Amino acid sequence: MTTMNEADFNWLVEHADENRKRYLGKWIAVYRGEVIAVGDTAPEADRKAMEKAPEGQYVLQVVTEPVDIMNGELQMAAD
Amino acid sequence: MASFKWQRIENPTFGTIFLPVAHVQIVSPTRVSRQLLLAVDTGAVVSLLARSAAELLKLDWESGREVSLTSVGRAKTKARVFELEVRFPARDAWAVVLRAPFAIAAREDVPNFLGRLGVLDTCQLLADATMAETTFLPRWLDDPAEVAIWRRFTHMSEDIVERWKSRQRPSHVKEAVGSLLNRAGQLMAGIVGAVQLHRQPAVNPLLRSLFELSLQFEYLMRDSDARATRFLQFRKVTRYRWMQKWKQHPESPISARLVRAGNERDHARVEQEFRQVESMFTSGRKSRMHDNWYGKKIRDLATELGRQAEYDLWYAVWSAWAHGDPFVVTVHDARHILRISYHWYGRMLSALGGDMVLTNEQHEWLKLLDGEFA
Repeated sequence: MTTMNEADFNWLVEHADENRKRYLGKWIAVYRGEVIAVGDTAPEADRKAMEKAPEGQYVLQVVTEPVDIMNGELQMAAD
Repeated sequence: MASFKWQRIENPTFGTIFLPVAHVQIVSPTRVSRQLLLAVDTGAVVSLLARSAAELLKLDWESGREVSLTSVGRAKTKARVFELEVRFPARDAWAVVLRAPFAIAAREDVPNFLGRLGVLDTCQLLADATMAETTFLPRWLDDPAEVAIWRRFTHMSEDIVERWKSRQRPSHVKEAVGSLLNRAGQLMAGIVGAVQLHRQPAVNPLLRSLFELSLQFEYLMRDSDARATRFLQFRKVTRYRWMQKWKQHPESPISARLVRAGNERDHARVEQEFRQVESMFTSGRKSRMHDNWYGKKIRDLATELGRQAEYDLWYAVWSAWAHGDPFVVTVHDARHILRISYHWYGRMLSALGGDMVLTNEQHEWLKLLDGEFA
């Protein structure tokens, strides 16, 4: 069973700026307050994370600029 | 409930900005699941994930419905749409679990976020700037029929109350009726507010007060001229009694503050006003002062109005709750709570209706509130 890891979510929230500076454009996996894997794609970060933590127990995030600053990615509408 | 702190970001253009994010578990149709941190974008029609999320969740790319997404700058992005399960974690019983369409972009360089379709338009979203967090809650009413009843109730109530207020009535009657109606409106707002937040046990004392208020209102409206006077004059009794309590507890810092807030002339005036109405609220050989403006016990009032069963079955048990009794009866079903509230507020509207001409629709509606919703 997957445990929702609140502490790791909070760690990601609190380290948003720091992560943006270090990992912009990358996928990162966080487990127990530590970035345990970095990858160009989600599966790459996931594969690396599984070597250090139980499958699915870490939080994945793609580190991007906020959507409104990406100039035009804010409102996606299906045609 | 599921609450998530906002991400604080320092931006060279705008300075400090806060980004609402959510921690969710995404589950694919083949039950592959991953925890993701996603932005919350109320402006986005559909939730969006980068291309590699399809592989992460072991989705068959070709099976996704092909769409073209248009951004604000009119740029097109090709994507495939998949139905995914989204789970919001919560420490209490109110975790939100949804099935929603997700667009997975054919590119990797897109932001990942939760949009409206199936997610933000399916649950309640509370953006709390005070706590700098976003809370996801299930809808407070699931059934469209119940939503229609709520809308009809608010519309009908407002119409009846406004029409009564526009009628020519003695000013003291208008003041007393307006005071009780305002209070009932505040209680209704409190009940609905608690239901919206899924805080069902918090409505117990509010429902109890609404019932008591509806009894008083019905009683007042049966002889509005005389009873409105009693209702309004009783303020002077309570105010005086309260002032006496300050004097009984001079050592209390609360008393000291209250005494300082008013001067001696105010105290003298309050006592003088009390003495003017004292005899209205005194009865018996020992000239005992009444505890309330209607001069009887609440149960006796309920009996007089033919509402003793409601008193015994609801009011008494919620009074016990309010007084810390270990036995607890809580109505957990939002629909049931609202229907009890409609019934009691409806009794007040019916009492108003006895003093004005209602439309046939309003008559039927009040009959429904009184009967079926009881």
